[in-house]
Amino acid sequence: MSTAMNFGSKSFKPRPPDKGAFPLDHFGECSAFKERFMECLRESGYESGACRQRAMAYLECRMERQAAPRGAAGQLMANEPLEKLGFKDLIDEKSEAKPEK
Amino acid sequence: VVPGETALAFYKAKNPTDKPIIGISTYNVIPFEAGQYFNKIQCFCFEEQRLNPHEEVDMPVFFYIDPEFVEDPKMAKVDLITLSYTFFEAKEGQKLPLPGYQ
Repeated sequence: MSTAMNFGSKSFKPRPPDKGAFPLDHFGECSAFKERFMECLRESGYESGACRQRAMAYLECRMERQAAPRGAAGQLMANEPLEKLGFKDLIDEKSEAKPEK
Repeated sequence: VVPGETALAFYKAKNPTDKPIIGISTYNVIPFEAGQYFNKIQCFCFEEQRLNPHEEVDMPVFFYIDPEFVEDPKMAKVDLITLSYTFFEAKEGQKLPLPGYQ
């Protein structure tokens, strides 16, 4: 897909992700969370902001799981405080609400 | 997606062959100028990923659009940004090629 039109302008340099790569979820351990998230997207007309709770749940799932042996990679996602991943407002809400369990 | 708000997206990859494939992917953003505002927090790209025979996996991307996007007059008419990934089969010692503009 070459677009010859961009001669002279700065080239697009792909940047690696800030927090590295997600190991693949070969066993679909978090697929249920992904399905719930996708269901929410469909129902909301693909409004990303409406589904952040479920996105957060998916990422929490990843952080909790041990990946299948893949060298040194442990979890499906390194533990990162959810506030730092842009979910601070949802965390604050959660801690204000009465715990259900 | 609101600039500044983190968002999650999923792609799906399938290996239709009888052999495991080790792939590595790189991405592209269209329109070109929006690429500088696209920030990936975590994704499946840039590292080799192994897909077993006939395996199908979900590939997540966790990202946000830089809030400065809304300040850029060149982006005023942009309301659709398309992120695409290309999977290459990784060969030993292969370096990831930069797409297009060599």
